[in-house]
Amino acid sequence: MTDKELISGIINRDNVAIQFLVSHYHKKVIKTAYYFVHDMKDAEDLAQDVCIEVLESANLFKGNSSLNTWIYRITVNKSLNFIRKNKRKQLFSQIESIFRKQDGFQVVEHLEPIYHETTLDDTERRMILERSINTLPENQKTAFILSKYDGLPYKEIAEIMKVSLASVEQLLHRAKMNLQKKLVVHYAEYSTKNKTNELRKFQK
Amino acid sequence: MPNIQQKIKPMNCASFRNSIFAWSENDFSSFSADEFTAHSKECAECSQLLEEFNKTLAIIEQAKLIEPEPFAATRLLQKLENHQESEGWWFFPVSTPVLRPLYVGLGIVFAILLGVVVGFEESRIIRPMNYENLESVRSELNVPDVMKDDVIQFIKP
Repeated sequence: MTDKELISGIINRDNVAIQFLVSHYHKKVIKTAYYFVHDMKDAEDLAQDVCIEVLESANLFKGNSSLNTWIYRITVNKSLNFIRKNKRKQLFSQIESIFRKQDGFQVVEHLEPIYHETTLDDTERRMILERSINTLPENQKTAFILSKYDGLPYKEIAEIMKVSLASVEQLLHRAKMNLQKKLVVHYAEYSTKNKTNELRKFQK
Repeated sequence: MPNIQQKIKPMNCASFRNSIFAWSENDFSSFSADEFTAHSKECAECSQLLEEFNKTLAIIEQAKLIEPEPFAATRLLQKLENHQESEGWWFFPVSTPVLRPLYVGLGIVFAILLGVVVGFEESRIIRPMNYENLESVRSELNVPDVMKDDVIQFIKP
């Protein structure tokens, strides 16, 4: 089914077209959303939002880019919006926790991970990587995820992000440099903690 | 014959740490691979850092293998069907976040206008006169008693 046929099918609410859309794009959409939000349930919910957006806005699709690019763009935007909303929620819950503290309620805080082992395991590494990616500016994060996780070529990333090819290269370079800095700092901290732990063990 | 080892400039820890990502991608445009390898052999801390970095980047490769749950597509189709069923009830996109404040504002204006119109109409309704009012009207009427009774009979519901 071509993009045009698929789009006209979606506009006419043709079940075959909708099934084709879901079967062809659901994995891509869920996986891309997952790379952004790091939670499969949230990624599935986002995929649902993306499909609904495709259904509702199919008549606005002008065909300037491929349907694949358009769906990727919607997925990226929905995922970034979700992260923004989550950040706001976190901020409110933090403010709430401050007030609760003042009221004398017991508050469970999100503590920094404590490295008990002498080496990092994959879960800790994943956590460090996800946190570091999350702290990148949105456009750098998008370029990095689309390139490194989704494995898309620079040209397609440029089309999805509506920027030039040179901008994508620049964004990716900056993302890598920032990520490198953050990871190095994490590992340096970890290494220092490790050394301190070893010293304490030795002193005991 | 010149010694190859002598040509390799020593790389410091800072430049090594700035080149780790490029090294992992085999991009040697900004530094020499020999210098990098030489420093990695000399500095245990940087060597460990490189190892951790490579293991972290391998996490990205692992993430690529993650697949959605088997019935994700079926669930998605079901949700889309439900959405389509509910679609017919709305004549305009209520869920659009940009338009939502506008709809709320229009709703409030409509409610106020409705209140004004209903209030105005209510004030125009002529209520039937009760007997207490009838007595006061009777005293105010400056007409002969016979005619008064006629008027009262006429007004009486």
